[in-house]
Amino acid sequence: MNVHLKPAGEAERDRLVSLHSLSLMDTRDSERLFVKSPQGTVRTEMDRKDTFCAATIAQPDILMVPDATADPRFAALPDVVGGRRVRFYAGRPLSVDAGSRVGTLCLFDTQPRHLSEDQLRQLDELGSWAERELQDSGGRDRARAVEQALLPSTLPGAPHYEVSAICLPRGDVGEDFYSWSESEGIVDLILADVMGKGTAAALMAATVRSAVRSAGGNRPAAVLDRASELLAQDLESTATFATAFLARLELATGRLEYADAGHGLSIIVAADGSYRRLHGHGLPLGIGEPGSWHTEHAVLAPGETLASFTDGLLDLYDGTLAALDDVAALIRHCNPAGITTLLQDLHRGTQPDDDVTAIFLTRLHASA
Amino acid sequence: MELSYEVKDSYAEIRAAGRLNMVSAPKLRDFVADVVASGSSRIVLNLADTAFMDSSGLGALIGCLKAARQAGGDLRIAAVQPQVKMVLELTSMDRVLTSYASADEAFGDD
Repeated sequence: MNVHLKPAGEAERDRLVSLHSLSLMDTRDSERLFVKSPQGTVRTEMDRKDTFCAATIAQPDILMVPDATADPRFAALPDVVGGRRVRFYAGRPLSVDAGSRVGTLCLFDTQPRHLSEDQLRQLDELGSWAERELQDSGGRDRARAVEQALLPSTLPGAPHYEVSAICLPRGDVGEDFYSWSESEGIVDLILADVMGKGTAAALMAATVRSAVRSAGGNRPAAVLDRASELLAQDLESTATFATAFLARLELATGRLEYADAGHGLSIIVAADGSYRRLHGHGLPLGIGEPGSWHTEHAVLAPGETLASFTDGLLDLYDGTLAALDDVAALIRHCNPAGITTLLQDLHRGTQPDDDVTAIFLTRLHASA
Repeated sequence: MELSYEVKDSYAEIRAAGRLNMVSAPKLRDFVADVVASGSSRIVLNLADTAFMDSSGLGALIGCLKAARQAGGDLRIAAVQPQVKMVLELTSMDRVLTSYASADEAFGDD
């Protein structure tokens, strides 16, 4: 049995394969057809217009060909005269919404066959299931796209600074976010992690983001005070909390004001790789009361890097605070863009159980 | 996560064994709510066999603490393991959830 899908993510194709021992056909572009088999990664490519599936997708009903060699429409197809020497074919078109057919679910055999009414109904039901799977995954893809669009797309335009950030969700959507903005020589940074995982946590992350940003433009502790007032009811009713790190940097002097709401993972790394932690002792949003946070002070000297990240980053190493040494070593040897590239590679290799979100900001020497 | 409890002289000791995460967090909340409802609001949560806790697990601890306090009691944690201790310290929640070396000591002062 084969499922043939138009542009679909690797994940949902694999899900179909694993759930139903289907091999999978996927048109990556409009011209060629890719076949993926559960037996391995054997792939064949063929011109899509010369396939059964192209004929199926062109019309709305199940297409059954009991014996292709006896059917003038299909007798000359490459799959029939050579290749797998297909005789029997039955395909059901798949739609993600009314009228837009994006793929087919199909059966092949090298012997002539005829499907009974009952078997046709089963193929139809399986097709309905595959359509729902496609629609759900489409929704997840859109949710992820929205989430990524909510991250800042441009870097603060600051001479003598380099900045890079990542937000790598564990699943389709994440519960972390970062944000930055610059105004009149002051950069405001926010990094936050909402309790829990999955869609519910992602919804709350969007809520927290909105509140913290609308409370912005003030000293970090004052922003947390205001945000906690705005969020009190929502966090209470959902029994949720969020950890956050807020920093305000004066670009000309490197003077840093920050406040920590249960985040705990921010460091300043010197050029020689030594680092100091920016300890805050504030409670997370949703637990601490307005007025309980304090604005702390530090200075980012030329050659130093401010790094703040969520606990998912620890899991890319050994899961303990010893990972801070690894991060500091990474910062000593790479610029911010290089660090985030390396972390992305590491993230791909380890399949962590949590989101990984991190900001790196280096103050360059004035002569640089 | 395996949960059990034992009523002592002045408190109930709940033992939680396993990973305290998004899956087990609701179970712990329900379990503690039942113990509180049965009349024991002074609770020691023994975490000697809880090697891992994520943010959902921390949320459950906070929920359990609220439930115990609303019933006029308290929730204290004992025998906290390194990873759980790290999470409590990073989030500054060690200020709210006091930990004790053993269950016996948790209500030893009152």
